Parts: sequence; structure tokens; C-alpha cells
Amino acid sequence: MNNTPKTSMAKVNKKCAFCSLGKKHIDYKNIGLLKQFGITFFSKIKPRKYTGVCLPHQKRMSTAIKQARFMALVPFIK
Amino acid sequence: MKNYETLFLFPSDLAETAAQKAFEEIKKQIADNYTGTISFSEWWGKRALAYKIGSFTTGFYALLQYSFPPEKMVEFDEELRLLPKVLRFLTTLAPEGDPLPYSAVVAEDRAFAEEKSAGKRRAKKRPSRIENLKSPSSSAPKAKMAPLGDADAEND
Repeated sequence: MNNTPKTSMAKVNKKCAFCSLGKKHIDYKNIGLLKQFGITFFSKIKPRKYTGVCLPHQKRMSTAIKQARFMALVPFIK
Repeated sequence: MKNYETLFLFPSDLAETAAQKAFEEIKKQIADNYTGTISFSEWWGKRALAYKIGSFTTGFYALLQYSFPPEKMVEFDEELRLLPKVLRFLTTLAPEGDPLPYSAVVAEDRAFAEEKSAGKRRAKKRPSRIENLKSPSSSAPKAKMAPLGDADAEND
């Protein structure tokens, strides 16, 4: 009877940028990359929802950001 | 033996030569006392810190990659921690492939900053000076030189 499909927001399948590049390791010294992907203007770590990165890479990236913070390459807060 | 990578941060109240000397001493210690071999070392030079550490706003960075016996790493770490001439250091396992040189670190950081500024005022963007230096033939003012180059090519 009711054959109309449920109206819902269209899902956008983002592809992981690091997977498509074939990168396994994320270097904490690569500050430009971390700024571009991982942190906001206030240098907070972006959640996976916004980065569109797969879980293993997100975990590696967050550790890389924390390492860069310790070495004063990237600020804790701005 | 495992491959390790350490980034050192020396305080800026030392002179650059003194900081370099301390770096050399650490390298010597790895080779002599711990039978490690150094595969890559780079002096980054003076760099602004992202935040104040104590009273320091700048510091000297140096990167080192070396093979090292893993059972002695704890001992070596303790030794580095007690050195007064080292402000901070971070030891990680060395990534596979070539090490990231400092020029790449700076270039990526600058490219990001330029992208950001370009998004804000795209109309005013001009080719940067560094690009002009890299490829002089592409820039407009040096177009007069092109015919000379072509003539040479013909002669050859």
C-alpha cells in the first residue's frame, strides 16, 4: 500500500584521504598536513565527522597532533 | 637494533654553535656508548615555538635518525632527560621510507597559509617570489630572454 520511500537526508560517502593516497604513517612533523586536516583555527582536534578520515587514520592523526603539540610545533590552544 | 627517530629542542639562550655542539655530543654518545649508527641528521635551526615554554619563545630544532639497541632505550632516555642543554625531545620509531626534510616541513606549512589567504582574497593573488625563482621562464618580465634561448637552441 504505502510504497513511497522514507524521506531522509542523502548520505554522502566520504572517502578517506589517506587511504586513497595509500599512506600508512602520518608524520607529526608534517605541520601543514595536520593544520589542513586535523585541527581547527583554534587548534582543536577535528572529529572524524568533519575530517572524513577512516578510524585507524584518525587515531594516528590525533596522536600525531598530540606529539606535534608537545614539541611546540602546533599550539595547544590559540 | 631498531630504527628510531628523535627530534630535539634546544633552548635559545644557548648560542647556535653551543647548541650544535650539544647535538654533536649526543650523536657521539650514540655511536660510542651504545653502538648505534646514525643514518640521518639535520639541523633545523632557529624556529618560533607555538607556545611559551618557561621564558622561551624560540628554540633550535634538530632531527636525528639512528639504529639503537631497544633494551637500552630506557637508559638512554633517562640520560637525555637529565641533560640541561636539551629543552625537550621526542623519540619515536622511525617511519619507513625517506625522512621528512625541514624544507618540506616549511614548504607544506607555507602552502597551507597561502591557500588560506588565497581563499579570502583571491583577486589579489600574485605568483609568489619562490615560484618565480624556481621557473624563471614562466614569469612575464623575463619573456624578453626567451628568444635568445631559442636562438641558442637552433644553433645547437
